[in-house]
Amino acid sequence: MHLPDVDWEVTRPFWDGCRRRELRVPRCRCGTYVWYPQPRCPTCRGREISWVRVSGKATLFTWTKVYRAFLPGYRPPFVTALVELVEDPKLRLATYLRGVEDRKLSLGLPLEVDFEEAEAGIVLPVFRPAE
Amino acid sequence: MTSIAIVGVGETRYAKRLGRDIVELALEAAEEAARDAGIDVREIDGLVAPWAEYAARHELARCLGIDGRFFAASSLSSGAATVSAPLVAEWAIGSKLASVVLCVQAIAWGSERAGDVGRPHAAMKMKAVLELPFGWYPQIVQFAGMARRHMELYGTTEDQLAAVALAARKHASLCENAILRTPLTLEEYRSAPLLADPFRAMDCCLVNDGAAAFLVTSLERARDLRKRPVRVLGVGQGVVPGGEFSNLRPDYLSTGAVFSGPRALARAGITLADVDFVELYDNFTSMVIEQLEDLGFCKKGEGGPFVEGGRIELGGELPVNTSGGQLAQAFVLSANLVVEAVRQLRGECGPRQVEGAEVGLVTGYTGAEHATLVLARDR
Ligand SMILES: [Zn+2]
Repeated sequence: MHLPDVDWEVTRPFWDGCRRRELRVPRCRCGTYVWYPQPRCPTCRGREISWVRVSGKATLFTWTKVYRAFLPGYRPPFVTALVELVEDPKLRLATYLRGVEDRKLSLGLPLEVDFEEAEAGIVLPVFRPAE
Repeated sequence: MTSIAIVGVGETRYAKRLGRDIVELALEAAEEAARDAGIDVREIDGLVAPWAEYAARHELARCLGIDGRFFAASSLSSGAATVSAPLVAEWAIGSKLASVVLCVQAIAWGSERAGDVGRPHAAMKMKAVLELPFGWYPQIVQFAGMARRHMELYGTTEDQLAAVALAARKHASLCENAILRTPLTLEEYRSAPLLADPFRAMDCCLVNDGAAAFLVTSLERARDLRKRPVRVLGVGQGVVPGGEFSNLRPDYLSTGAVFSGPRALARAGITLADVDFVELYDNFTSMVIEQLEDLGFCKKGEGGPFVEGGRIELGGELPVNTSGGQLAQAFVLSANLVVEAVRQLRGECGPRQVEGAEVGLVTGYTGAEHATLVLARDR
């Protein structure tokens, strides 16, 4: 399985947050969420961008159930998905869906973040149906 | 309308593996295109070869005998670059930087990439950190996500995806230089295993070796050459926000065809009603449906019903991908699609000829970029 380089400075606050069981994303001083991380705000061109904690609530944007291991180390079948964080529809994350029966999968399904330790020091944010 | 034309086309044999270098493959396709046009390869003085890095481009030029006096450029990347190549050729010819422009794509992914489909994504750091750890890779997974949302929003069905695959295989069975020449039945489609829901193997483009090329020159010059010229009526380009990260697109289910299509048609001075056949960038079956919508052949969400009932097959209202396209003929970053369109407009396609083909439309795609090319028989 492909593990992220959690020390890469551009996304390091994201992975540091996950280790503390917090979902964090970059936001410009003007209020715009800047996702994926980039050095300038697309709205105001400012560079005062800091990482803020978000609620971890989301809705299901799309998904696919993968039946084949396209690279070594992945164990299909699994459901990989895009979810939209409730703070802003531009905050679309690739993630794993856990705990949803296939027949319950539908657009807009309310979800919330959960954290899984993949390896010592590497924690992945995954999503489950909201309570 | 432009004042340029395509005057020669060439292809290598297409196969899963040819075991040959990409420069050799490109060279063979280029020489074939020159022979087809009746032009000496040493007359080529412009190159659009987006696959070729610096060294490969110069090696190709040395082999063609045009070393040291050629112009090279590309406006877009990969498949989009192939289809926008005539626009670059027009600029080069109009500004007297070149007079005969070679557009060539060469691929050896069948030999090089077996079992290594994730590499291009893993090489992009942002994808490696934010997408691959969640299994959101490779292309098949990302496009399956788009197809799934299209199905959920618009009611598009698996059998409608199948209709695209079946048409491709039917057309490829009529094309000598196609890799998958056996027709496909709906039962075979339905019983094939899912790879990434809703895609099966036949929803995905081929991974193969091969090259395809075409030559562009002024219409004036074209009319003195061996074959009847195929006029470039218009080229359009379009780019959507999100760049390489398709999952970030605000308009997730639209390609740049929504921009490139109308631009190409406006330049050509025609409407979709004038188009006799289309060759669409078909990396996955769902992309044919999406582009039919984005180009305006039907409304957004109505691409599924549009491809039913043989409408996109030879003999139907709008034949799509008449050589089998990249799903069944070969994957050559749209270059085989341009070659096929030229042959259709010359009436050279034998059993798969679209009767009375006067105007054809070709598309190329890569990530955020899209290009549309409108070609016509010279009168
Ligand atoms: Zn800002």
